[in-house]
Amino acid sequence: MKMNKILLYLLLLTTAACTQDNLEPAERPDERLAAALNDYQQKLAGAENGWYGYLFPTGGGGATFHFQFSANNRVISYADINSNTANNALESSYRLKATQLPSLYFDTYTYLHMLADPDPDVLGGTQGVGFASDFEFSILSASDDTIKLKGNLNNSNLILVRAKEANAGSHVARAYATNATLRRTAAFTYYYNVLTLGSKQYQIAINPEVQTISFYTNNNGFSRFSTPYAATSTGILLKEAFVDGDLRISEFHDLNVNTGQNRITLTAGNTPGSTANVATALAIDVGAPTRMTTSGNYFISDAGFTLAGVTNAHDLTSIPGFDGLIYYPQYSSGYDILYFPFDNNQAFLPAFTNQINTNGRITFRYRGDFNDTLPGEPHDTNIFNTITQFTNTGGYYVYQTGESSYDLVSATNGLNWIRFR
Amino acid sequence: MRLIPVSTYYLDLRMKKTFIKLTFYCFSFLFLAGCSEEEVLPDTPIVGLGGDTWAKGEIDNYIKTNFTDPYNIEVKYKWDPYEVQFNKNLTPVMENKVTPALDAVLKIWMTPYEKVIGKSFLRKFSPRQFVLVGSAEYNSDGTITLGQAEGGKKITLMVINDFDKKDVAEVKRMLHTIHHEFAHILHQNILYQREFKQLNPEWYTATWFNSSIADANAQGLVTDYAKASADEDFVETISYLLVEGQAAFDALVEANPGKSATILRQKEAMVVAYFQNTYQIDFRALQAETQKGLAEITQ
Repeated sequence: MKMNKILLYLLLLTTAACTQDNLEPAERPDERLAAALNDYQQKLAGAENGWYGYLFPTGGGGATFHFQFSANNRVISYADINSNTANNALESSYRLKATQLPSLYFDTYTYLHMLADPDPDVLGGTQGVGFASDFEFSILSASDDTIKLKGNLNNSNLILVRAKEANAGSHVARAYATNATLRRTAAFTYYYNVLTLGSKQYQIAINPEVQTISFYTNNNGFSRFSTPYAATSTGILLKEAFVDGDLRISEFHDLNVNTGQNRITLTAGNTPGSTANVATALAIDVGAPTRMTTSGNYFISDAGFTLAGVTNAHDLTSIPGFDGLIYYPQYSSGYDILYFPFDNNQAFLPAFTNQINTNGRITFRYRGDFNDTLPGEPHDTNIFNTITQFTNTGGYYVYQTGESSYDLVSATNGLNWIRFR
Repeated sequence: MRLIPVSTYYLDLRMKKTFIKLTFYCFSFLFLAGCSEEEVLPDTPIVGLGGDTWAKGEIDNYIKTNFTDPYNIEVKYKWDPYEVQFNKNLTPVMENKVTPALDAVLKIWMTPYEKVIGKSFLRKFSPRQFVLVGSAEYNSDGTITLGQAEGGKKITLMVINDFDKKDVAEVKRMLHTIHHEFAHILHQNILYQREFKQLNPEWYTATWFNSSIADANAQGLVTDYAKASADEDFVETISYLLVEGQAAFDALVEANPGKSATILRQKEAMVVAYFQNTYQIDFRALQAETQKGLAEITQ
């Protein structure tokens, strides 16, 4: 009996041992890895018209590229960063590397690296960080016409879309032109633009300085959706799709700006839409003034107030050494300041108190100066005109257009507004 | 088979049965091993073994001809996150800056040594690897790192994207780093004079960065970083004499008269003697060649 049991064990165990042969994997990991890298290489270099790249750095905004990858580790780039990068090709190198996920390295400097450059003299951004962008990317997914990647250092998103048209390099030049088109919306008479798309209406704000688009609605209470965008040849691509019920918008195409009619026309998917430029708000964000003033950040406006479609209305940019008007809430002892820089590190610092009412209005009162040196006429007049507008007793509604960017719109006059980033 | 001695501790009957069972287990194990005998070692190449490869270009050929073949030095100019601080925002180099920067390294560091003492000396002592980085490394205290060296094996040169051979200060800064690190290798092989450490031990401090360069000069040290330790002091003195030149050193001595002038002169003499006695290098000739190379590059 016992011997039988033992024999059974023996039989079982020897059988089990021999079945191991059947469990051998078909392919070794190195084979599969090499095959994956080879496949990505084929996809990248195999696109005869190259790839469009839409990069959304973690630091905000979006940028558009065209990459022509070759089989010998070279890549030719265009970027919509400035007119030089949009129109002149730059060759650099790339390689695919087997890291935790197979990765695409842009391993010598090209336009893509400008966004990641820690030196703020290159493109701006934060010293030591730039725009928190990337140039080594893990490949998350790859089909024949779309490759999705994520930055290995800063988690930026890069989407590569296979170019279908020949002469695809000019795509970036057209994207650069789209950026210029969008900047023209600042010349619209009123601040408020209401987009009608099918049966739905949204107040929208396009902020070309930080490259975001925001949707505001007042259905069942105020709601806001802001997302960075990258320019395409005919419109914009949103980093995150805007979803409202069964409406889902991930891009706008056929986008046109008509400054004569103060109108943006565009198409989302197959739905055409257009905006109306109006004097009053569709939706008011009552929480925004508090968010802005308690965030601990300060905010920069490149050119001060826009009045009735006139940007830089107080001609602040003509002040020698002016590099942006700063609004710093709760700067010191309960006072907000405006900071008017001029000449060599000099600045005029008027102080304000702010008051926020329950309707979402913020008003400012001029309380004196932390530093009263002024650049001299005619600039002093311009500065005080700005202060007069800023302290308008009607106050301002506040619209958040990005992570730390806000528009202040006169609550009594939709013609007057100022954009802070 | 290891199980046998265990069972000898317990010789009662039950244990003997266990022993038999265990023996069967052992048998089956042998069967198992017997079955896998047909296995062959995989011959799949391991991805990335031996480093990354890419289609070679002009820069690769330049490096091979001027650094790798003659001196066995590797120059990494393509981005490799594992060679740098992994948590810092850096950028790779611009390709058009690589050859000019390496030319400066060649003319202002390698050629002078080669002319004065010969190629075999450089082959023996030079660092094995240069890593080039496009941007500077920004530190949390507001300072930036411009170059780094690791144990005489690797030198990381940063801010290559700002390299401009017409910018004398920039060229000097970069070459100062290389001469500095190379001098470390030299004294790590044969230590400098013991007396050097006793010249101004009172100024060596871990918080050297709290002194200005002027403070350091007034205390008899060529730079603020020389205050970090006697080793740093020694190599900074060498690097200063070579890259800034004798005239600059003389001016420094003159501007800081008294005790510090005496100390600076003593250091200078020790450096000259060290090179002569330990490596049979004519330091004055090396100095002249370095200056010649610098003039040639920045002309």
